[in-house]
Amino acid sequence: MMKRINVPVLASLVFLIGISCYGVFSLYFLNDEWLRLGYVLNKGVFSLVNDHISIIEILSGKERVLGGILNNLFLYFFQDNTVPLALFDILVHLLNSYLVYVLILEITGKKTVAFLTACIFSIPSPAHQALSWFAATIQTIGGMTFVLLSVYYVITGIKRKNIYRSITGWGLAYIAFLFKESCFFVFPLLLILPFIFSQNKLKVRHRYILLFFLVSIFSVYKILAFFGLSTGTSMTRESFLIILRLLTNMVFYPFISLGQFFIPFRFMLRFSVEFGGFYYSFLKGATESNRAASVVVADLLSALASAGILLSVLYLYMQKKQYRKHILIFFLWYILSFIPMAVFLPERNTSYLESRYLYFPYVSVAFLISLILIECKEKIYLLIRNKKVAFIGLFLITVIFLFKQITLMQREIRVNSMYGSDIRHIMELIRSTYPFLPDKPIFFVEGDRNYYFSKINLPFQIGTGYMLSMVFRNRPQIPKEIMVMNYFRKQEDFGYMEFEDKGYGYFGNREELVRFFAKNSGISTNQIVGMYYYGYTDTLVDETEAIRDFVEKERIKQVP
Amino acid sequence: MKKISRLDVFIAGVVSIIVLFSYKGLFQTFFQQDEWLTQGAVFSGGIFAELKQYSLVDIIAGAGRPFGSLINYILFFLFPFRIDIFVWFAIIVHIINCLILYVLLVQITKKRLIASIGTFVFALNFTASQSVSWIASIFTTLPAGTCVFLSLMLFYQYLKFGKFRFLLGAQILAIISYLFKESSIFLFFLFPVVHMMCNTRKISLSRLCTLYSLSLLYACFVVVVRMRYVMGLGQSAGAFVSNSSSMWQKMLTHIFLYPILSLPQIYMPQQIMIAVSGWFQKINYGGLQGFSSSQRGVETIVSDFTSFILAMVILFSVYLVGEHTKQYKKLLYFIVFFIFLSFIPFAILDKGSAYLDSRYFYIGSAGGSFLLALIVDRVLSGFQKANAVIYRFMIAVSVFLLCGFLFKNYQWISRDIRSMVVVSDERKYILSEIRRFAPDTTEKPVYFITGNNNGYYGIPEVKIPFQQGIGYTLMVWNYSFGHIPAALLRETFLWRIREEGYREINGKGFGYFHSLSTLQTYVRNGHIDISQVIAFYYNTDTKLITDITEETRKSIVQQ
Repeated sequence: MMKRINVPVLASLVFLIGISCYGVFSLYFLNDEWLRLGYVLNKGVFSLVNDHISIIEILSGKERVLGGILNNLFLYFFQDNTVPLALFDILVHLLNSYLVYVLILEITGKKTVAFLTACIFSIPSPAHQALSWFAATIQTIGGMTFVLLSVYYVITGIKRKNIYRSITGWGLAYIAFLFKESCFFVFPLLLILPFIFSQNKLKVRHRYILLFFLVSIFSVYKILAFFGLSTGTSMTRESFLIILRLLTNMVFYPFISLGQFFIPFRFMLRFSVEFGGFYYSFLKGATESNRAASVVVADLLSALASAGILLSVLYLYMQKKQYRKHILIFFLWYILSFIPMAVFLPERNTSYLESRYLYFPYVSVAFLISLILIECKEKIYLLIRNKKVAFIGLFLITVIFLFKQITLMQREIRVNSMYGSDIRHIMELIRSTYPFLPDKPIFFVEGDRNYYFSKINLPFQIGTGYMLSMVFRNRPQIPKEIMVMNYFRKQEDFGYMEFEDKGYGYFGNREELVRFFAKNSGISTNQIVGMYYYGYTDTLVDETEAIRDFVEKERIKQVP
Repeated sequence: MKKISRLDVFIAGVVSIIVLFSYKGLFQTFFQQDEWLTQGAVFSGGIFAELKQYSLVDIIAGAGRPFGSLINYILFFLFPFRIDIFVWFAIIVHIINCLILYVLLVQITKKRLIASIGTFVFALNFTASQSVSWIASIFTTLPAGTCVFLSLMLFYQYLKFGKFRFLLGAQILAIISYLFKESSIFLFFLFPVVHMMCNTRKISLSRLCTLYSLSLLYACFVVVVRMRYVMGLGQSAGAFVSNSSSMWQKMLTHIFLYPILSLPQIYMPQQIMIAVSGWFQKINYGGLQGFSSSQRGVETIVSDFTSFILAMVILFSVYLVGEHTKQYKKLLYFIVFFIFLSFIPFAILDKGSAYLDSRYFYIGSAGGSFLLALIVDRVLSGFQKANAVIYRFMIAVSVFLLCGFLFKNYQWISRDIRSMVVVSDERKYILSEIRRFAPDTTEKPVYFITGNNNGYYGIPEVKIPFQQGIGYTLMVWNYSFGHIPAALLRETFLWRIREEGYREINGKGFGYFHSLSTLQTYVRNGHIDISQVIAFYYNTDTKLITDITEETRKSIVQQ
């Protein structure tokens, strides 16, 4: 590692991260975080390591043991207090950005390139979810720290012919892998590094051949295990399609995503629909299939942008002989980092991959952007023959680019923060409206506004039934099984369950509620907790008594 | 080429035989659509029917494609309905084009292998086959192609020897080519750019302008005179971008996208592209909600996307080959540039599917064939240096793949023509039966045609398989009887596919109806006498046409 910390670089990164990511302190849990929280609160910090998992499976990366446990620690001790997580977010991302600076400096020896790359990486707007979604934060950002360290150690090990550093690097790569399975890409990358940096290529080839086979066999094992394929299963059309899709995705994802790093998701969402109607006249009008078709249009546009960027990279590769090796490393980094996504994410919901997955490849994209910026500076110099003007040109272009990234990052965090604050607010409102719960409560929710789906009247992103159990998670009336087993986690889930002396239910539809009580005469209407949420005016009305009366009257009608 | 060798003669013979053999089925085809319009115009207005519409200045600027139009109308005038004459014309001109291309490739590469591969691929290119198989396009596309290739040949001679007369010849041929078909306009841009690219010494702009003054002045003249037509402002057909409110944006998008998307399509017929896209869709978009695999729109977009990815692969291959063979690097880039430019004139069109119309690929496919031949040659020569065994193996693989590719193209062309023959036979049968049942029609015939088909081409009113107005078709078909007013043909009365009605001019009249109620209204109102009505019923299942004149007359009277 560097002997001294470069204070100006660190200060710049602090400034950039501070200005772009300060919003993370306003974030709140959105969806999967609640499922994890419920589980951890009832099962403990080591809850991810369930009874059915073997030590071999843990060591082979299942359940992301290190990232998972660290995540649990935060949830267990701070519950839904998100400030510690936000601090972790900011500090570890700062560390990662600084590590990027150190790594690029080590690889290229150019301070400007390293500084620019670190600055660009410090505002990861295309990968904003890595910071703005707490369900992914610890594993993604934490995993990245070890990826960067591992690459740094292996490179310095090769350069200084220090085997211990190389071994440390491989160890760190393994830690990264235990943080997040997507970090697996670092293994093939580390294998390739000696071929690029070592003087004696032949010797390297012999030494790494065994390691190469081990990594390959492990990769195949992981992929097959992920899809539940083993040597015993015969090749069906479906499994053939899976493998074909996997192979295609390995090429398709990195290609399509390259352009998407430069085109904000929300812009593309609008533009692809507009362009679809403009270029393909049959797409005018907004039917569902047209929206689906606009995903392909978005892919086409992304592919066009990707092709343009690839051309620029090719140009740089041809022009800048001193950077060839480095472009190659980061190009490989970029391609390899998509391989786990090709496996774990066989299908996409939109044209864009989930942005958290782009945190790992963003290092290489940042490096390529910084090279393009440097090239711009040189072109300006060639044009004007004035170093100062060229530097000012570089500075201005960089500032404009970073400013755009900052506004995009802020916007994405603000969006999640708004969703989060809606959730936080409604949870507090419900808690204050219902200071006491009946035994075996059965929640009934109505409202005048739909959130995300029809008949979802509270602004929760996962099942209202589950979320209400989280609202009252500290009350003795709530059975812990609801949280442990994540019952009612889907938006459409409703019903009633009993666990020994406790019970819990949720309904969002009057007919279903009445039908339930008509069928189960032994259940008292006093268990009902009714609420009506006026979403447009943000008013929660306790309609428990009215619902109880209604159900009482209606159930009699329905009893045969 | 200084001397024609036996090998050249042999290759020319083989190419001629292959072309003749591939397109031989065309002799059994018949008019498809626009040919009827041309035949009608010739009947009513003679050989200058088309050009009479324009002023001399407009014609010099290319309006009405004067050269193409003249040949077209002369042949239709001399040989009405003689499909065999037109097919001979198409096949001979296509063979001539193949041979000119062969000579050009030999001149450029000095390698008969490259020239032969390029020529064979061009001769049998299925994507562009409509240029030969559709009578309406053979008089413009094919001779324009001849002039383009000859022009390129002269331009190459100029680059090689530096003699101005070659450049002048090239420019004159480019203008002639443009007068056959406007899409050759790209040559005016291609020549100066290539000149700059190939010249090792810097050439001043004024010198360049002087050298290319003929084509540049002509291009300026065309732009000034024909801006309205070039932009399609004078067109009412739906395929022109001018019909859209965002004309310029569309044109710019097309200029960028059409060349790229069309590059792989030169080698891949639409049906194969759709199959590949189907797989691509299943793999990449199978999980997306709202996707319906049968939806034509989605098919088109995915095909475009697949074409784009394939174009990237081709361009990257060109780059790789170019980087490894410095000698041919410029030539490879020139071919890609040539292909791209050849598609730019079509930016004024809106395409209805993932592919431009087949005939628009003709010039581009010549470049595409050359590109393929050159890449094959370069790849093989790369292996030649490596290892003798691998080299031989690669030759065998290349021969196998190329033969397979050519054979598949031959099959696709034959299949396409076969389907045309089936439709043509049906049309010929219907027309001959109509003439048999009503050999010498009444003075003012009024046709009523119905049938049991739900409607050909998705149009309920069309009960017999004709792609254009049936009334117009019958007028042209029966024109020789002398009862049809020429003015009706001139005014393209009943040309639109759903059109029906009756008109009289100078005591002569003609009518066609697909709706009995409309015919009844005409009869009731006294516009038509019941004795004028001639009616037919076409049974799609048995493919039989029957005369139902009496029944129809009765039912009209009874109501």
